[in-house]
Amino acid sequence: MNPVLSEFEQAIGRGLFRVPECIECGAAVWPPSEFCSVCLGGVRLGTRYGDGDGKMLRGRIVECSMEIPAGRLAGGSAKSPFFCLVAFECGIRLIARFVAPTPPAPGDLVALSSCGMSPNGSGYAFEVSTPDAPEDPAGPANM
Amino acid sequence: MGSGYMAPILAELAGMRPRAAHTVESLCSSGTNAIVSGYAHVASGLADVVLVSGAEIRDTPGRILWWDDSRGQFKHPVYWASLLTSGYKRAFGVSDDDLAVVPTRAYANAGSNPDALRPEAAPTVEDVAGSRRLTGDLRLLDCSRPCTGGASILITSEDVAGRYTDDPVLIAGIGQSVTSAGFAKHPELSRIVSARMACRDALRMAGSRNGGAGGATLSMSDVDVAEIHDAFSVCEPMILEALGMAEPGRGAAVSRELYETASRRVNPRGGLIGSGHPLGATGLAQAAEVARQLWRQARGRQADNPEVGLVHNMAAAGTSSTALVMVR
Ligand SMILES: [Zn+2]
Repeated sequence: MNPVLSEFEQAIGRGLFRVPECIECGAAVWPPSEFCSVCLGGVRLGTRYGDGDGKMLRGRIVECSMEIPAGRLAGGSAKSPFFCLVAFECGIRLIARFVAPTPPAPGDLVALSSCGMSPNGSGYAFEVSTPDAPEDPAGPANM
Repeated sequence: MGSGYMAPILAELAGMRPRAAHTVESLCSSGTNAIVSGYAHVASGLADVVLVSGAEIRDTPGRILWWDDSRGQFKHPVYWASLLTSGYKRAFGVSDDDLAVVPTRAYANAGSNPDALRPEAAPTVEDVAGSRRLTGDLRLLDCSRPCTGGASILITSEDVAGRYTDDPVLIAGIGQSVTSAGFAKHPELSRIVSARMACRDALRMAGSRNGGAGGATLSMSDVDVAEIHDAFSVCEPMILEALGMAEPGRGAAVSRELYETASRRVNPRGGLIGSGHPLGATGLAQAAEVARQLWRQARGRQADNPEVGLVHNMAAAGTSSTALVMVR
């Protein structure tokens, strides 16, 4: 396994999401890879999210649905049946479980609330929820 | 099929000694991409005769793209299909009831296809609507089923075709398009861009081959029969729209028209939903069906006097497509 991926997985195994970034052009490289898909530059792990220092990886829901019953195929404790494609402000898009008291809708602001290795062995697992912090006054971004 | 070195293994098992045997893998569009490889061998002069075979076993591990970590733990195809369905319905105000006609039509067509893996009785629109919910946007009968299956076609140069048949079908156009590998980079969740690009290029190549000079092209109005990749209900309207057979958002209405008029112009054998979806064999089964249609040998499901046929086969949520235009 390449060193960037190995470091990324060590972090995510501890619940930390570190954005893989190109050393040359700064692009977020996702899924994590040894080389930037924009300029083929080297990649390092950048900003850390999830270690309680107040940083939030925020984004907006592009599309969402719900699995019936929750966790049938995607495994895990399935706290919520909802899953959604999220476009994060850092440029990363991924599918995450949505955990919140009310159902999600496209355009909703969310923040990464947890990450780890998937309990069903299918790679990474992400959860997003409605952020406590006030909404970005700039409005919808990265849709 | 979960085993490497499949082409030499198949050649040995069939008692053949080809000069070359290689395997093409591209998830659900492996079949048509193998046809493209066979075509290229013949067109380049590397081979005169190529046997292209696709085979799959029901529980192949190949149907999930494990590489795509942007899908998180939601790697099973029902998740991308649900998000595309949700995106499509929201963009165009289409309902689950509107989409229920797609599998209903698929199974009705499959009823006259002896090679289809189909239930005894074709489900009705009500059966589709009442089938088990897998997600908020997908019912069991909206899904094509992985199955064991195989299909083969023989590609030859025009010079030697006469050794095998008096009535060859010509592969007149090929188009391929890749927009990404990962689902999260899908350009739009309400359209399958790769389908539009691949089919446009295949029609353009067929048009210029047809004697037209300088950018001559065929259009979908020239296509008499089409096999399209309805892996899930929503794929059919999205592809009909990509092909220009329906206005944006009108694909399900066109599916309904095809159903109500018992048209065999699109997916006469029942498509992937009606026939089963043995991944690596599907593109070959589609091409074989178009050949049968052009030969007017599709008993009980024959399209009206087809002269030009089209195959659309795609992979990984439509992030890539391959299209063929076939003429008699
Ligand atoms: Zn770069």
